[in-house]
Amino acid sequence: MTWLLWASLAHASAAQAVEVQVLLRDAPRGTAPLVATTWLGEERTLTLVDDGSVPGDKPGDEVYVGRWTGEPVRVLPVRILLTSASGAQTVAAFNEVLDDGENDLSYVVELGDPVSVRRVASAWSQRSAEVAELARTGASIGWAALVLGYVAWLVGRSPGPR
Amino acid sequence: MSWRGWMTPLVFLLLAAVWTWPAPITAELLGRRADALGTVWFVSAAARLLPGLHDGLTGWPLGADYTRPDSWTMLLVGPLSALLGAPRVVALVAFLGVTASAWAAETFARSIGARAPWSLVAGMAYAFSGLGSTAFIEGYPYHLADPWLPLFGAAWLRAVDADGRPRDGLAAAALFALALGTSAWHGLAAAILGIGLLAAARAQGVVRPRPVLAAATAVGVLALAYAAAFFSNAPASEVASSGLGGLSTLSDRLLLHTAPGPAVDIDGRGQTAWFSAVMLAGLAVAPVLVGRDWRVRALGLTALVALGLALVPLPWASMAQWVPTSRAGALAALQAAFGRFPERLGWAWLAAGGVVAARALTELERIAGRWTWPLLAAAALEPFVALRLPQRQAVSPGGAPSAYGASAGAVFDLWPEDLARDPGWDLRVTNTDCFYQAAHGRPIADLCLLVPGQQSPRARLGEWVTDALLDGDASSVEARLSAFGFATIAWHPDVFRPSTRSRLAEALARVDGAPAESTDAGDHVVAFALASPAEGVAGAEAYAAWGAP
Repeated sequence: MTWLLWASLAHASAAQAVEVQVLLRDAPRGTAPLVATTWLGEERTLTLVDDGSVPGDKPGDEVYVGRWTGEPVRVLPVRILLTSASGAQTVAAFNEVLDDGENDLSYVVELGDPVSVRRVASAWSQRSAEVAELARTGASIGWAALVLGYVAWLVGRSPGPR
Repeated sequence: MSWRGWMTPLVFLLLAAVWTWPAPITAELLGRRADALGTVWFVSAAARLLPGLHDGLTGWPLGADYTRPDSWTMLLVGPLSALLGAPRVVALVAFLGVTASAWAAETFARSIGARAPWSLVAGMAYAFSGLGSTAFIEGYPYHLADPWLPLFGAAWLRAVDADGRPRDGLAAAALFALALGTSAWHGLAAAILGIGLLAAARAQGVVRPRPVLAAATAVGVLALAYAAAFFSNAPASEVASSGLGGLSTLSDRLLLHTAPGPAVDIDGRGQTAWFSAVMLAGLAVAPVLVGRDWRVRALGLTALVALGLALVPLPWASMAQWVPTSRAGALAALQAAFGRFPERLGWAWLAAGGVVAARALTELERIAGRWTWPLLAAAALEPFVALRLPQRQAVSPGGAPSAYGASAGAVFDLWPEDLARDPGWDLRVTNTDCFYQAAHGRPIADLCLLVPGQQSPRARLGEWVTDALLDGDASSVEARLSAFGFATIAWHPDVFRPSTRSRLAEALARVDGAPAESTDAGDHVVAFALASPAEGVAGAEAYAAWGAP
């Protein structure tokens, strides 16, 4: 009972956090990503950094990271901008459905004409994302083979009627 | 191991509590996809939908007829929402539904000779499956609350066995009806199970005619009534697009049956049809260990047929060429209902495969002893590791923004129209309005369930209202919406483009200079009161007479 009460309270007190990651490869000097939102009526901008100053960020890996926190919001409008010497330009907008707890929003920006922005599961390289997907699939199939092999071994080594 | 009968439901209750956490205690909304919002509305509206399935509080000002609800059994739990609140009822359906479904599958396994605790493998395989996790995460937990399918399997197996009685057939028919009432997919899965077992019993020469006739008569009447209701609202002609979630290739569908990767929840769909490796292993060795039992053979073959149907895409486009034009609407209705998610036929695979595995592992334990125990632990842990529940589940606020409570009467929700082309956004907006209505109880302009061939008044009016406001013509908007009986415009400003937002704010300020505003319940809402909304049937008459732009 105490455990249930504790878990209930822990759940109720959870604040909403959003970590934004943007992969921006081969960006010209002075170009950096910026994200903006309207969070329950409040205009917010977030400068994303790639200097290791945000926990979890690896400096110089071209993945820019930033973090918002606030009161729970169901759908967060996220506008992605690129800043340069000539100012800030909005390159994409998304409406993101959020969870009450921790949320990861990851995007890949591809410079070109026009600039394209994709929502992805992880802002690390496409290769890393594919490896992560394949690892789950491979582990799933490997686990099934292991269990099947174990059961077949049990059947094979056991005497008795079949 | 000495296993007491009460231990089985207790074990399932505890595992379900953890797997569906925080469903046992929460009054918040659970689910990543917009369907979760719609399910809460459906439960909240159930009491007023019965018996005629007409709702005067949605589709305002005309009201709406919802003749094709996704789940009839959810209508029965709906009245509890007045006592507990609709989000809590939906969460409890998930938690207790998993428990009941697992227990029912375990009972099915015992009916063919599995013994506890090995019979629990059947419950784990069926209720704690990838299909179950998808239903829970996407927000239609009534799919989790189907103990009827395994109970139907057990009753039908008794009916077609050598000592089957007519009452077994009637019991099976009643359970089939409940499975069909849970969702059309569960009805189809039950039909696959029923046909497979009947065919096997005939081949074995054990089946007697009376119980089958009793069941066939009852199911025949039910099937006719269901088909009449289903096709009465079929669209006129075109075959619907498979849209989101339609997996067209065999390789896609095979991958769907493995553990989901990190990207599975990215668009809120969370789809997987993962199944237990312990179940697969038990099923694989069943012919060696217990293959002499015709019931095991029948269930094993039926499971494989169901898996095949779930994996192999049906050639809908080719079928359309062979169907007369006059029947194209019926084919479209079938495709829209059953063409998008054939993996859901896998419920029959899980129910039948799980009981066969449980029976085989019972036999394996007899000959291999404690070496089999790790398999039991693996069966209990697999759904948590492979499906990553409860971590993947999303929780969001369970109530409606307080601005809705500032006044009474019908509400017109104003959302961005330039995003409406995305079907995911349109569904999200519609279901959000419906979800809020579950809390504020005021009439709204949305249609909260699919009504084939009909567009909601919100969708019809939305573009006109936005355009008029952007042109600065607030007086026309106020006059028209008031004539249709709306008392409030509930504006959701944050999701509008900043440039559009400022122009709309300026125009709406001329409708009501002192609107109610709130930022609670996860949404920023500004509610503008309209002067003199039409009363009675005048609003509906004015709307019916309005020529949509």
